Amino acid sequence: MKRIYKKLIAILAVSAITTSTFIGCSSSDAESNVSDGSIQIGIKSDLTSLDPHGQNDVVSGYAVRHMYDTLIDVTFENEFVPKLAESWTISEDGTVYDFKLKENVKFHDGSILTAEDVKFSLERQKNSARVGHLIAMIKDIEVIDNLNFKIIMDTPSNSLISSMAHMGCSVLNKAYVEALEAEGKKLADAPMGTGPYKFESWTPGSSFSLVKNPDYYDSANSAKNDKLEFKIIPEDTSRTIALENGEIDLMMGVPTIDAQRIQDNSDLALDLFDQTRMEYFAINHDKEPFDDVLVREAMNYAINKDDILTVMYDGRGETINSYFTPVTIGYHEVDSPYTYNPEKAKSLLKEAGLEDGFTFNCYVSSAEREKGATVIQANLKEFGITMNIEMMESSTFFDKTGKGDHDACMTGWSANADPDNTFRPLFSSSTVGDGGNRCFYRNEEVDALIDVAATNPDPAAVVDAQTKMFEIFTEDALWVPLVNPDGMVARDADLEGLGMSSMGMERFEGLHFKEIAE
Amino acid sequence: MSVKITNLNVQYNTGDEVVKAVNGINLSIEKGKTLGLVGETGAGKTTTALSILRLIPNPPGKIISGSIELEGKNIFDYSESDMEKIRGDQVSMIFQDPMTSLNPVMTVGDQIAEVIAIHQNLKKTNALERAKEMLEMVGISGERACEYPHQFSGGMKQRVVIAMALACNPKLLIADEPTTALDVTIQAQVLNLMQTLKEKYNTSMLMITHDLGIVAEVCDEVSIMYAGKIVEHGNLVDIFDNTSHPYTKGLFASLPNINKRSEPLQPIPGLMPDPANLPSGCSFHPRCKYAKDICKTKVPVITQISDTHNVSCLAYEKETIDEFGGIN
Amino acid sequence: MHRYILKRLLMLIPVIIGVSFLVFFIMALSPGNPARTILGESAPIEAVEALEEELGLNDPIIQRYANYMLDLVQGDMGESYKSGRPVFGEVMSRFPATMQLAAGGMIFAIMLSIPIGIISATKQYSVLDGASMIFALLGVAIPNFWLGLMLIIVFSLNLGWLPSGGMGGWQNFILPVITLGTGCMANITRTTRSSMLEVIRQDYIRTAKAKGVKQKIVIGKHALNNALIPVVTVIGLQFGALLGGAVLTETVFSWPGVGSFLINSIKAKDTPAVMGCVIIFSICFSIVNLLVDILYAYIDPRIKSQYS
Repeated sequence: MKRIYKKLIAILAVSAITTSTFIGCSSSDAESNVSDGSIQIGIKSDLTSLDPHGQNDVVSGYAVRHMYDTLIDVTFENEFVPKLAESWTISEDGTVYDFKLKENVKFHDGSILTAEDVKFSLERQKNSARVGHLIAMIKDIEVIDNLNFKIIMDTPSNSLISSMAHMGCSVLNKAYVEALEAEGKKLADAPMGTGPYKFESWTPGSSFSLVKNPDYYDSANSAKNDKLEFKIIPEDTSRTIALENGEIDLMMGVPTIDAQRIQDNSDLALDLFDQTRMEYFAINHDKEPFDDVLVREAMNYAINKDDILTVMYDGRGETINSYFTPVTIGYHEVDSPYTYNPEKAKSLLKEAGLEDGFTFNCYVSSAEREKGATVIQANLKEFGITMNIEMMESSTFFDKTGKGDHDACMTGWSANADPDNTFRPLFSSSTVGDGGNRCFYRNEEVDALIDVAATNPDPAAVVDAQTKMFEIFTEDALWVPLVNPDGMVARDADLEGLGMSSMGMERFEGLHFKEIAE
Repeated sequence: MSVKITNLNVQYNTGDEVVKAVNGINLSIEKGKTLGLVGETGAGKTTTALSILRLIPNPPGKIISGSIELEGKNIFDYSESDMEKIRGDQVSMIFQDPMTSLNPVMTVGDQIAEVIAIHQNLKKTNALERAKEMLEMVGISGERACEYPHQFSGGMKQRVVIAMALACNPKLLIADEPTTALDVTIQAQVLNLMQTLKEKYNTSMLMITHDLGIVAEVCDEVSIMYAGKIVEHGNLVDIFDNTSHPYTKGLFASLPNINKRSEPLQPIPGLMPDPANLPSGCSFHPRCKYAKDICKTKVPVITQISDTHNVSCLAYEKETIDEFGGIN
Repeated sequence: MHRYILKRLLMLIPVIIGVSFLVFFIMALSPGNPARTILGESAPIEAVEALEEELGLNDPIIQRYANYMLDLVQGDMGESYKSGRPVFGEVMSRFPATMQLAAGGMIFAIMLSIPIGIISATKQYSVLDGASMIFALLGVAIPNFWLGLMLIIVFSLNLGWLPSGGMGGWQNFILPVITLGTGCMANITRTTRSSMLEVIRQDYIRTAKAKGVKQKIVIGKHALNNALIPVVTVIGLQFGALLGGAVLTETVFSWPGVGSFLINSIKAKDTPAVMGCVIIFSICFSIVNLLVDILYAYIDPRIKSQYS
């Protein structure tokens, strides 16, 4: 007995020591914070990299976009406004952009921003596999003096300005990065920019935090809080509980099932906002019978989008007939005949010779989309159409739909500030399959219009081209647009100042707790 | 130590059936004497032995009635902690199978030292010294005290068990078939050892065995047990020369005769009865070649043949003796 | 004994080779493109292709495997496709968290299971026996995911006694450890119970009683020391399972351990990260098994003689 217990006690002791050592090392402080000016934000997944050129995801963006600045910013109202750039002019032929930088913009280490920094950053960006494509159109950057530089392209591109607003185009400090990399170190481990926050710490898998930059160049937009702490809580329910408990003040990404609960809680608030995200039912034009426009039209009349909105999002959002959502840059309204009209669907199917129905498969890769798919499945059953839902894991989904394996699939899209970044992947014949065009849609006229919208310097021509495309898509019954769900964030009812975004580019420097009225 | 067992009844209640292991036996052992308890497997010998130590496993076993007196005191009056004091100290037991009687993860020294430390209140180191002495006494080098049971042969293991049993100089030693699992040469050594120690310390001994040869060598008196009853009791002369009970006669008859090797063996027909289902009347009657009808109904009582010799058989009872024509 | 240990350590090499081979080819041959999965749905095809090139995904499989193994023997586990950071660092930075959880869970399980198993065995068929068996069974039947969430709801949300997740002070440790530990309990309890039942019926227990050893010591020393031998084996195996199986618990409690890292890496088809995790797990598991076997030798002297 003695020996066994001795061993057990030894193991216990070792574990206790190990544990306390590591607990000491792990990130501190799970306490709430109203007093010390820090805001706790709960997020679903971890960031990937703190190097603007090493990542391209929303969560990394929370850190990157607050530590670094871009030349141009896009507002919630979809306006491009100057940020680090004071102003810019575009040449007649649209191939040269002249930029003037703001004066006395300080990096976190005190050095002043110059055009050399911009040139360095853009050239480094070009080499990045993750965000290099954003500035593929840039041929050269010419530095004129400390505050002025030119961006030179071979052909005009309407994507340059929106790219400049993308976090991939964050401005780095040339001397700092060069010195760092010469020592064999990585910018991702020691980020430094001009932003309203400085990097504090990152415990992978657990949390990361940013502290206020007191010398931010744009003092009007300086941080109203002292620190941002992002806590990674992958499990939806746990995240909601953390909010209810006060362990976090703001929750990014609210699971639909918890939305009502949060609304009903008087200590919390649920904010709904318009976002560019859309869900659609993609039909593969390469597969019969979807090569027949009549059948595709029938699909557009056969599906009850209201039910889908209810089932997938509890009704929070709008049903859509359009191929871009209303808040997306590049959206223009066109007339659409499509409504929920089973009679019309039936007659179209009859016209197509398919009144007895047919069978096809529909791939989905998430539980939420599967729910929507079951509504469609039920709708189509009325016409004798059997839709087999095949659920698969997302990389398999991408793989298979990339190859055109599917007859149809439930998928979605979140647009960013560059319309070409939506038109081209979704609708161009050069991007069928894995490029993003999962409907395998090939239309020469549309291909030409995409190029016009991307390169024609005349804004009116661009609007025309875009509008025309939407008309063609409607005529072609390209796919079945379904819903534009509302974006949701949940927060402590006394927390104010979140900078909204329709594109996942929220701003946190305005966050602060309301003074409780006496 | 004098031992007196009176009318002991022990049963095992397994839920399905009631196993009548010991059915009203009387035994006594005088100080310094050896009593042999003889019988086939299943007769109830081990149960009797375990009863003396009150080690009958409590479900399902139960002592129904009777008394067991050690030096005049009935052990059924003792508490469990009183019994713990007696076990290993005043009364020790040696079990049948030495291969499994020792704890495989304790050194033999520790196992012997344990019984010494408990009863003689010695410190661990002193107890271990004493244990080594005991090992020497049974013919094993004291240096081997730090070894484990699996490092010893069967015979040596049994010696260790004997050392353990005698470590506290018990007044009564119960040996339950101590040599059955050993081969003949070792058997002789072990018996010898037991005899020597017994004489040295004047220990009373209850020798349980089915081997009449051992009985002849070691015992002063013998009780023959069958189906939970003592059917015959006497000293060596009584049992060996004046064999009375049909069962005892059968036992002796079944021994192979080295002089008459070509003769077929004479086993007792049939098997020991199922203790859950004992025959009516005399338990032996189905197998007895002298059995008469009365044996099926009347339960025999103890008949004294001489001062030292008694038997439980209707053939000797006054009332029924006439039905039998004498048995021999 | 030393030779035995050395031999076992050398056996790690074929284990690592075998494991890496299997995992690599499973990852490489299963559907899905890591570049696409990492960059997401909306990324343009040029970005995906550029990333593929950067990650070396266009090289032939055998060459990729050979490159990986060459690096591995030099101690380089490559970089994660997703983050670009060295895999070894990624895994090891999360390792202590998983270790703590596994160790904590195991200790919790042992502290409850062994006494319950002993009581069950010594008071067989009693109400206590039945109750403890049910308790242990519940432990294995209740999905630990659900249990974790329930514990959070009760103790964190409703009672406010404990934090709802994440790593931090000792309070953060309690609920995840209970959640993880209850899963192991059934196995350990059952093994302790059956082992005790068997041991109690052994002759040497009877001998101990016949020596006048007090009942408490008969059970606690004589019986337990023998009964624990198979239990130690089970604990070793369970611990290995715990290391990898803490995934669900880690997810529910936002515990930054290797388990959740592994799952996310698999989803992202981040082959180097998956390989790194699996290799480190294999080594860990092998070492734990070795430790158990050595412990075994110390508990059971019969085994010790076999090793030397």
